[in-house]
Amino acid sequence: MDGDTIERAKLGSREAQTVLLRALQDVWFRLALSLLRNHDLALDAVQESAMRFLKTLPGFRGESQLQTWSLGIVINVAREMRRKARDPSENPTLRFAAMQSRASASDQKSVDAEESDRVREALHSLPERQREAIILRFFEDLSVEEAARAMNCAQGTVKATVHQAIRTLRQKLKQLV
Amino acid sequence: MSELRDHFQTAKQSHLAARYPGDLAAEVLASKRRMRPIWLLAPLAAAAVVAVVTWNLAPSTLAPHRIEPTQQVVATNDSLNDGESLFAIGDVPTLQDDMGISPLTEESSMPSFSEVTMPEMPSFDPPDATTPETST
Repeated sequence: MDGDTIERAKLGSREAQTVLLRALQDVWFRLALSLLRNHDLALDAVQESAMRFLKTLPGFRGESQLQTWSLGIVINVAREMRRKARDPSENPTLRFAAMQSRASASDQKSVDAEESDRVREALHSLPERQREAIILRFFEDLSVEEAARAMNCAQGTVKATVHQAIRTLRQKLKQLV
Repeated sequence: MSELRDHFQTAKQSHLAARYPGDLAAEVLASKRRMRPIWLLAPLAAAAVVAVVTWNLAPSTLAPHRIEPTQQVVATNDSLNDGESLFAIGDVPTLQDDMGISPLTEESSMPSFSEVTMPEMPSFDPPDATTPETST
């Protein structure tokens, strides 16, 4: 993702936009999947994020990495979808899909993936902001500054949120083991 | 922290293994391309509908009825002969010779007069002045 490609994509070049979307689609998907815990919802989130990304790309000023900036879009989309899924009256289909996904995930559980699942389970019991901070900092290896940009908050908030999340995770993992 | 880091490493491997199943660019950009004609046509269709409705509802406003100036008739006296007047009165019907202006005869025009006599009216005797009034 060089600067020239980004500039051409901002000006509406389909070819450049294709290059950017192909470079970003995997990181968007795994972030959406980790936040939403549902394959279908994650696909929807990625497509919605792509639409918003293309729409807001001309406003990208290059103050951060394009990927970091784009992760902020995915986080916002995932938050909106989670909010909708949390209210069954608003979107019962999403709620049902989330329940179905949880059930199928537990069926496919293998011995090797058990530990990973335990961590994920503990991770998903965290509040939304703490979960976002852990995924960005430890799974996507973003710096505190980058995570703060993606989460649209102060760096100090990220540090405090991560600290609190780690403390909670330790306790939960002890209980699970 | 090291134990937790190990847990994180395992979960991270699983997290990073996820791949988007498909070509996002093809899906999104193709859908945007399909939507383009709709976005172009929608305003045009709306404008056409507004124009038709406006035309039908207020035809007099859009196409005011112009009153064409009529042909002006200018009176000239070029065609008049000497002695003729533009304001001359046409032929006046003439009276026949045997037709008089006054009534022909008095008998025919005036009702006949005959002396009218009034019948005699009944009279009352005048009260006697010498008759004394009855007293109670």
